[in-house]
Amino acid sequence: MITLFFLACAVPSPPVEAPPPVAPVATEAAPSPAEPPAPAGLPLGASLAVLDVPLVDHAGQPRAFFVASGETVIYSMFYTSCPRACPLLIEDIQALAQSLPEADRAQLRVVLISMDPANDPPEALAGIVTQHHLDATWTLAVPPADRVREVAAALGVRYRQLPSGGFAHTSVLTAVDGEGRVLARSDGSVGREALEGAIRKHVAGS
Amino acid sequence: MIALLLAAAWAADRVPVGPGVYEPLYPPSPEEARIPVPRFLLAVEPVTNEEYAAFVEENPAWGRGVARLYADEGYLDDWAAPDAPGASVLPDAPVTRVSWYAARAYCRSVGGRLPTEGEWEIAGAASETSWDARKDPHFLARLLAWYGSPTPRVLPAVGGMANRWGVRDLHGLVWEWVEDFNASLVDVDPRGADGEARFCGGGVVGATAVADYAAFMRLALRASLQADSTVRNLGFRCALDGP
Amino acid sequence: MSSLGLIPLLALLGCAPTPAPTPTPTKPVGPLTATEAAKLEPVGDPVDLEITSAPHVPPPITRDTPAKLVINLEVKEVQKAISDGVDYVQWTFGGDVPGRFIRVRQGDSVEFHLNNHPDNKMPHNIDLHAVTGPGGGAASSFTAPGHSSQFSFKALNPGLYVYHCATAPVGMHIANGMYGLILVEPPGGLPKVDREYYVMQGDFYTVGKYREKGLQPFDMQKAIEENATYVLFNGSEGSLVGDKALTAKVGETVRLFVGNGGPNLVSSFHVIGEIFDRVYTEGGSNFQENVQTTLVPAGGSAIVEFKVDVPGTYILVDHSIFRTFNKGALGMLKVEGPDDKPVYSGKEIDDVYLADKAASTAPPVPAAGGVLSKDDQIKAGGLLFAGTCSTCHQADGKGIEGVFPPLAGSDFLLGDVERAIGVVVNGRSGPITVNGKDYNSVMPPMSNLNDDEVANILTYVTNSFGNSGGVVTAEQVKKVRASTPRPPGAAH
Repeated sequence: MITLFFLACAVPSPPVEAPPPVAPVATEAAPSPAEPPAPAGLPLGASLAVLDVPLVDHAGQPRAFFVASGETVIYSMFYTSCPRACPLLIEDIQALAQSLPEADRAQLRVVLISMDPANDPPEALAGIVTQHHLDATWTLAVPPADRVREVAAALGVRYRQLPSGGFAHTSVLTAVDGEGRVLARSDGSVGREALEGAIRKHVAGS
Repeated sequence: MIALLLAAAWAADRVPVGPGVYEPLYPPSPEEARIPVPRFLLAVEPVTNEEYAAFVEENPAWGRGVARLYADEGYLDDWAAPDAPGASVLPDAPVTRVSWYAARAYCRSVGGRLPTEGEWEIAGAASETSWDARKDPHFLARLLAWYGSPTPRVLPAVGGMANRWGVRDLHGLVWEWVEDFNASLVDVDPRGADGEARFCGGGVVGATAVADYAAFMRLALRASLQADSTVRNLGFRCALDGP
Repeated sequence: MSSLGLIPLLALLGCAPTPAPTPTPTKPVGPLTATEAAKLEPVGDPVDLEITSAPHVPPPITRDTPAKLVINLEVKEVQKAISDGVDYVQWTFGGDVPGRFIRVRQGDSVEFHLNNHPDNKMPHNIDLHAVTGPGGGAASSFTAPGHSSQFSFKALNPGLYVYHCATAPVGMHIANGMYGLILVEPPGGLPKVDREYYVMQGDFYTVGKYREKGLQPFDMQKAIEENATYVLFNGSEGSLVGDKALTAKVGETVRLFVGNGGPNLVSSFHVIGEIFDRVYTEGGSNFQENVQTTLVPAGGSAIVEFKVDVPGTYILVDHSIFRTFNKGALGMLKVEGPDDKPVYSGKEIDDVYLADKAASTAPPVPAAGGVLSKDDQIKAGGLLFAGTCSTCHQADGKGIEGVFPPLAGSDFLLGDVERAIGVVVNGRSGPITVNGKDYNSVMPPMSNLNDDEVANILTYVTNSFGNSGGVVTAEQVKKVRASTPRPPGAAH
């Protein structure tokens, strides 16, 4: 039923004969009343840069969790044998990147971190890169097995390993700026509009 | 040097718990209704202000000025100084206002880790006389009485009655961190049809032990936390894989 | 629009251009559908909404455009007195039970901040029945102590709705007082009344018995068995009593926003001495009229309206009446102003009801002639005494202290025979002192007794109960009867 609130944003607003407002109308876009705020997690503006979890990327190279490069970065988590949610996640982020003006696309990086180190060595990650034709702006990486939960905690991802070997997890995207400070976060469709807006604005500016 | 002392103290103050079977309140699937928990070692008491202060002395990065990623604004805010508790808290009281990151860092420093939710609940199911008091109305009444009583201004020292495993203060003192605090309630989408499972009466429909209100309370508390959360009455203790 | 092009055409056709239509009024009066309400957008800057503690409510909304409202509601676990000397740790929205009253308009957008005080022990959240969506807005996270959660919603449906904490176990959170009311006014508002008040009932379960003193813990088992220890309006016994009573003046219209947090019991809400002119049953859009007692479901509400015509203290009760007298569900509405005797006069006559002993009002005719001996008088008097006088003065003549004076050793009775006869024949009211104790009752005239019977009774009385003796004759009674006025209402 909360989708009703989202629909309310999409409907063209006032009736033709709107009475003149009694109070001055706020001219910049007020926060949409129907949109819930960003999902809970590290507050906007706090930095992920200090997280010292060592990663290994899909080329087998060691890499810090955060590399200061001046670009906007989207972080999320996945695992290679994920049947549906993770491929959707990847396509979703690709679509987001495509929606940016072409000149800005190079300003956006994506880092996907595996929650399944036992089954996701660099070769498996490379397979996903090939499968989805991911370009150089994408990095897939794997942390040490005992640091997975720390990464998830920093990114606001909730997950649990299932007896069958797969994982139940949330699809949280965290966007950070060139210094690793959190710009926005979305959890599925919650906060999605704000995330896209924040990314669009930031890549245009940088 | 302090680390060696700490490690030695910690070695003396832990007891074996389990093996047991953990029955989550909201098993998302039948296969996850009964989770085996192998034998492990659990600290007899929660980590105290004195112990945590020693850790901060060795690792100044974990004083009150720690990076925002690792703890929110309430971190150690009842300590007199950024790196020392001072007189406002009892040295033997459990350390609170520490985040999950901080708790993990401490446990790592003494060669251990946080207990998992399953491990904690196995240990916490015991009363003084019974391995599994989850259906004992007197035990439950005591837990509920604690939930209904206000947090004291100054937390008292650790050292309550030991339960059947020999572990103290699992109930009646502070809430405690577990390693996988954010692993429960993962696949329940509040916006979907199965969202009712999280709220109100719907929450009870999916749950296994309707009368175990105490377990519900702990679950609700854990679900309310982020990794960087610090809470006035939330502390922790460490665990270790068992022999 | 294209009317400009049509005008020449219409002019050619000889039609005058139609005048611009008068704008239809855009201020709706009645409730909107939820779909219409969902389309409304706020006008103006966000406003920090004033939320009030019971029994007060924020003033009626006067704006006619939707607004963006920011609500900050703090959860606080506090130890409070729920009865004299009885403390309980209540979990509150805003520091009191019930929680703050929230008043919004249909179509308003609300940004809700739930702030869990750092000193609290428990995580909490909130479920507002006014909000559509799973969990009624109980946001996807519980809120830990020292933290805050935020969520937004639009008020789509008008009505008076309960809100409560929805953290498992919900029953315990509600039982500890986590409930309140949110009013969503239809766009035109509610009809104007002179007074509006907020009253919310709840049942409480303590380990100790009713009024057992000290800090009382919550009793889960009693809650499961629905065996309430207290049933209270506004979170404590005496919350609406004495100087905390609700007030109104004669001639005013009063509206009560009545809620019932439960957790278990349904309320049969009644105001002693009043009939509700209107009841919006269950806080909905339609009303019933001329209602004596209305049901308020647990987790539900009702709006009652009535005009107070007569001064006095009206008692608010749950008409499952042992809850009022034995568990604390009692409140007061004090109405001041001029009396209105034709509507209610107060007690007019206090008469003894003798049932089958009450004889006709015709003057009694002596049954037989002749004079009885003293012993016969005593015997006859004794028979009459039983069932007539003993009803009040008791069979042993000792009376009831403070209510009916004794006859045994009564200085008032024995000191003056003619006065004693006058009391029986004419009745007696007003203050008297008997054997050093004050009485202020009403003794009706014994109009059913003839002179002989009065004489016999008095002779019996003066010779019984340890009294000193003497005789009263019919002659004496006749003389007193003739020489003293009968009071109004006496038969003869």
